[in-house]
Amino acid sequence: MRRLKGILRNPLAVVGAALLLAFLIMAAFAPALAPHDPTSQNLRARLLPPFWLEGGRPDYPLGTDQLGRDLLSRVLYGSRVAVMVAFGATGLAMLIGVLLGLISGYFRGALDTAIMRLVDIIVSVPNTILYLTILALAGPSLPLLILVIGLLGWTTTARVIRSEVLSLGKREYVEASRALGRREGATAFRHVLPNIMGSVIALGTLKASATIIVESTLSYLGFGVQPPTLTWGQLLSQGQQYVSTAWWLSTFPGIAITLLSLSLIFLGNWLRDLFDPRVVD
Amino acid sequence: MTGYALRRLLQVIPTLVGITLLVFVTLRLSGDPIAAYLGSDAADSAVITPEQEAAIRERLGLDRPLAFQYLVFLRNVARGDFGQSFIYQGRPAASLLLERLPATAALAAAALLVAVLISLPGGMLAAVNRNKAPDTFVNVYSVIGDAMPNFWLGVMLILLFSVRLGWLPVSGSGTWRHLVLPALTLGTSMAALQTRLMRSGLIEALQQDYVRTARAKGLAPRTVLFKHALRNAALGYVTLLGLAVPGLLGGSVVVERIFAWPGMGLLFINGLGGRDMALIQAVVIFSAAMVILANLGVDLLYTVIDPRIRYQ
Repeated sequence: MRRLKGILRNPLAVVGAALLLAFLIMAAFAPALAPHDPTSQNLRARLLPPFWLEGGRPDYPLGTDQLGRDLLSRVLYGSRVAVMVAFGATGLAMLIGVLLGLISGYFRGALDTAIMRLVDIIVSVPNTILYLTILALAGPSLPLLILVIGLLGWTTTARVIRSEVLSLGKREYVEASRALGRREGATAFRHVLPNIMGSVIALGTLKASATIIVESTLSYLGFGVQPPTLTWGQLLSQGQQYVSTAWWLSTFPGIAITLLSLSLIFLGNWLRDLFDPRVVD
Repeated sequence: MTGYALRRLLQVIPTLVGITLLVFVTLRLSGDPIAAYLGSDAADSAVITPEQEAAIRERLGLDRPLAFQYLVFLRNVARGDFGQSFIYQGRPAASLLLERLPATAALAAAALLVAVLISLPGGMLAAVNRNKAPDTFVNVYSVIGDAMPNFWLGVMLILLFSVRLGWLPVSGSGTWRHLVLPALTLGTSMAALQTRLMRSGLIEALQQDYVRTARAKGLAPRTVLFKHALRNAALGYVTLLGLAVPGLLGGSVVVERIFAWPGMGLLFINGLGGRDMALIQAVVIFSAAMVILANLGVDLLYTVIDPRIRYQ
């Protein structure tokens, strides 16, 4: 806990925490914060620029789209899918990755070979192509999106955890626990797992940032969560059609994605340095 | 060396079999192949009688046990036969893929060039001026490069260079000018990681004893950097370029969609939209084969570049 207070000495981590908190509030209270219904059209206010430009209106702070829908409200609502997928899919992937990495590195042998061979197979197909295939064929939806990223996105985590466990396996306290006749499973969970928890948390935070990029990419390509549920990727893909006349439609959703992802990177880098002082950076 | 290469080649086989199994199971789980064969409209409106359907099933081998179907699938894949694409009037998926390959290869090569042109000098500048202004600049770039989705970067480049400045076309293909923005988009987003790894590899090399010796005997700093440190850091960098293959393939799907670049990625997106099983499996298996080949190539190159490495 005392170590966590050190966040105050790291300005980037403070910015990251503040940004992340802001996005969580946005996602939780989107209906209360949004000035308009994100789907209500106003044909007399089509393609309005942001309020500070000529022709902009203060009641549509970030401007409107081709149907006169309020961009700010749409971006606010879009944060919900991003946050849900970031937490849900990353949580699931970390759970599987840590468990399999622990098993692989601690028990080794045939189980290790089998798990690592499975990792080899999954990483042979580029992520984007693998996720797109399954989502397109099974019909994209929010639960499926979380499941697909969660069930297939654990490979790097498993590899990192495995190598950490391998290096811990020879430590005295692990040997001692074994010598005392404790069951192998108990040693793995009581003595090895707590010692890699720091890396797990740092890894998970950085992974959440990558998950946000993956989710937005899938939905930009049209195979993420489907309308009427709003996502930032969809907003960007619609906005691109008006890139020559309404720059704000493709600019603000992208800023939202980048800031949310950036907040997690700042926090993740700080956590990594905190728990792993060996890393040269 | 030959023995090692042969063993490494044999190791690839189970992975390839695993991938084909994965693809076969995924495609079968995702729906009735008959519906895919006929196109979903035809299946919905029941334009064929049950007898006709049974005949098609028999002709396609769908009445056989799944394990047998998998073996047939495997045999066809090994022959480069991925089946006929129904969204492209029954043309073989393999030849459609081959047709689109040059465009994707050009994009990947140009993007790789961009990535090298950024990451090599960027990583060197940062490592040599550690914790000074150039290092900070490179760090900021690499963090933002990670946080920014490449499709957004692509749209922003269009906004700046095509819409505002009018220098480059918004999308399409035909001239080298069409390639600039897609290559920049794919290359700069990949360069973030590569710059970081170039930097840390060089920092590590600069701390080695042989670098201290070279400095101590009075060699010019430039010679120490290029002849001693950089050469040793290059090993990690070469690996990295091999590991960039999945990123290039996955990234080209996104970038080709942004800029309507007519390569394999765009073909794949079209295939997905039309649930065209032949096209989808062709792209998935081809990409996996490329990734496996690249990893293999890097491993073998290692033994050539670094004579200390001898595999048993």
